[in-house]
Amino acid sequence: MNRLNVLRGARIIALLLVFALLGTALAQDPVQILYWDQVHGDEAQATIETIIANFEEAHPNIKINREVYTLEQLTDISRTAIEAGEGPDIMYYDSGPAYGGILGNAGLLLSLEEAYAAYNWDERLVSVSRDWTTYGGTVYGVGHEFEAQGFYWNKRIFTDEGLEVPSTFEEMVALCGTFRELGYDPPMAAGWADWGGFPISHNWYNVLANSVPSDTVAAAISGEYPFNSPDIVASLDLVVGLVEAGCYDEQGSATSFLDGNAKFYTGQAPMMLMSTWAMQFFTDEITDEFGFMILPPIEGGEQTMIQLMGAVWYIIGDTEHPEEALTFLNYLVSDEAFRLWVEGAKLLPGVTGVDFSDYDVRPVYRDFLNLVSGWDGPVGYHLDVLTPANFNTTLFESTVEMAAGRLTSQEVADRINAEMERAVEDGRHADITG
Amino acid sequence: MTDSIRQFFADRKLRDYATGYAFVLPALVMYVIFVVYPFFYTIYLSLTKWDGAKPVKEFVGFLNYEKLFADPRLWSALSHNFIWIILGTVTPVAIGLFLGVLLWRGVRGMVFFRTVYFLPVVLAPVAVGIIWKWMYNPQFGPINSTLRAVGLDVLAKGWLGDPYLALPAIILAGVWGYFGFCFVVIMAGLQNIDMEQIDAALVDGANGLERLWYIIIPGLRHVLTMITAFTLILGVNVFDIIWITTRGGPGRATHVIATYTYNTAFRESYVGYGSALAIVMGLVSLVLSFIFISIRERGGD
Repeated sequence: MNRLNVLRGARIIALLLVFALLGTALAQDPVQILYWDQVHGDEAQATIETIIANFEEAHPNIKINREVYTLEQLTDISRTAIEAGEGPDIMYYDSGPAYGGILGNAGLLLSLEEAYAAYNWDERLVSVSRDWTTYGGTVYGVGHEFEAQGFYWNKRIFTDEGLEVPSTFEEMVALCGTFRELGYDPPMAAGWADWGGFPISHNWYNVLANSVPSDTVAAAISGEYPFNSPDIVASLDLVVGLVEAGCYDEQGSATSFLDGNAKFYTGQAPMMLMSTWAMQFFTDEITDEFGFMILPPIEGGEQTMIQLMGAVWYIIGDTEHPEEALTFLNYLVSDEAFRLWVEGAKLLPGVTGVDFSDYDVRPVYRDFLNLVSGWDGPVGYHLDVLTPANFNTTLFESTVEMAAGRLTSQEVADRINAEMERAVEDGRHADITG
Repeated sequence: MTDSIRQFFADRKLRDYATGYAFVLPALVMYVIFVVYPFFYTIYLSLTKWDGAKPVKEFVGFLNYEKLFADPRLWSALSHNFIWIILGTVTPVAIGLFLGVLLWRGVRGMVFFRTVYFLPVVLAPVAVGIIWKWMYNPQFGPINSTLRAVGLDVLAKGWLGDPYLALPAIILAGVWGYFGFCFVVIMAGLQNIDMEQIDAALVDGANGLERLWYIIIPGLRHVLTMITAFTLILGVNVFDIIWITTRGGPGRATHVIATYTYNTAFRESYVGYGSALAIVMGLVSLVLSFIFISIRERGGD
């Protein structure tokens, strides 16, 4: 072997070493995806961690770094962080003009138009996934938490007291008085101390959907029909009726979500009006059997289900890893993840064509899954994911004052109508009539 | 080194100036970055319509300021500030003065009392808010529990959930967290009171109230001015304790201008209008302080 061959061999070995080191470095340095979410509750947390672990196992070149925030924190920091280039790659944030709409309209989110086509999401996801995450004509989000609002009742207490489950709204209101006389406390909406008028406003959305036609409500949300019209004022009057009938905690505005729910868990309260996102807490905490149904219909009306898309996934516009972010997003709505969401987190992802028959869930939850997925009745709107932030703030403030007797339903309607007019003037409303 | 620079360093006076500026410069730079620049930028934002996210800020002149006058939420918030300023200033100063005079001449366990009264002051307002939120809890809070235990169930309320009680309830929490500061400052001021005057007043037959009014309070004039002005400004800018306890609710019952500003700018994304509110808040604070100090100085020594 001459000297030239030795040198040549050494060069090849050195080159191979460099490639090997580079390969090792690349293998050890997967693409980092920063993921901000607002998933809380022990089981839900465990579920998302499992989903991430499964994803990373299947995609060793992608590492998901999850950070948990509350909705309020995300609202406070997301804009600034994204604009400063310090935001996440994917964010699990609420839908509607008050939340994702602000970011989408400012060009801070990635358009998912191509991704919807590439991943066939229009077929896989419920239609509102696209509808309610489209801002300014572009779809930016993938819907996840598909929720409904309804009426929960403690089956044991109803049986013990010999009472029938209400078949109309009026019967439900009358039950509040009956339960009060029997020494129970029906906190029909918990969480006033945490979120102000958010819970009682949710009750109103339910009543509104059951008393005013959907297309009228859609027109009001779109700024084409006044919120202080007599029919909408009348729906607020029905909520005043709930207050007067003793359906709310006497210290309602001071009761937190946990304290109010604790009354339901312990049997101190026999019934509640809540969204299905609370199902995960209820199924964990309450030992009595409880039932869930859509709000009983107002006499002479048709029972209407309020559906909403709670939090949704967005990809941030300036992400350096759009491909990897989309891969993760698509995994989050995959069949594999779906079962984990349902069984572990007690959430109903907005995915179509799923058979729940072999799912390992509590009976009440299975009832809910079947009810929502098989619902063919009218569907109403959950306002605050479709209405602008100034409208929501005023609504939440005003409904509390209405419950305290400081405002009439007409005054509440006038206030929110003024806010809607302001939002329309500033182009901050959602047009859902088109 | 050129001659002029050499001459500069040779001149002792100029050298002293340069040394002085060198020491001041870091603080000045920080002040410009964190106070002066944001202040002028806020003025600029207040003249725009902006949602805090869009790249374009639409210049609207004084439109936001015009809207302020017709905004019932602003007037409601300002009225709550006014209540806070009156009750939140008079009460802790009065309590501090009362306790200070009581303990001034020396009592057994003086250090203990001073420590206990001052203890809430070392707590952050956020901690004070959390403590009182628990105190006022309608189900488990010690206030309602005590009332129920002694048979006064009818007085057990949802303190922070009642639109009529919430503001006084938070003011009480604020006073608890602040009166210790007034007490300690007044105690320090009392050390400068001329005891010969007190003794002379005693000989002349002045009662306790007369000694307080004619000798002690005039002797504490500077101290009282300082803590009153300080408390007054805090009253205009109060935010944290309200945000922690009620976030301005129930309804709008406890919104003050700072919480309303925050809500408008960051929750409702009306950053331009929120900036106008912030400027108004600064002006109110400035004008009130100016008026108070002017009145005080007109009074002379």
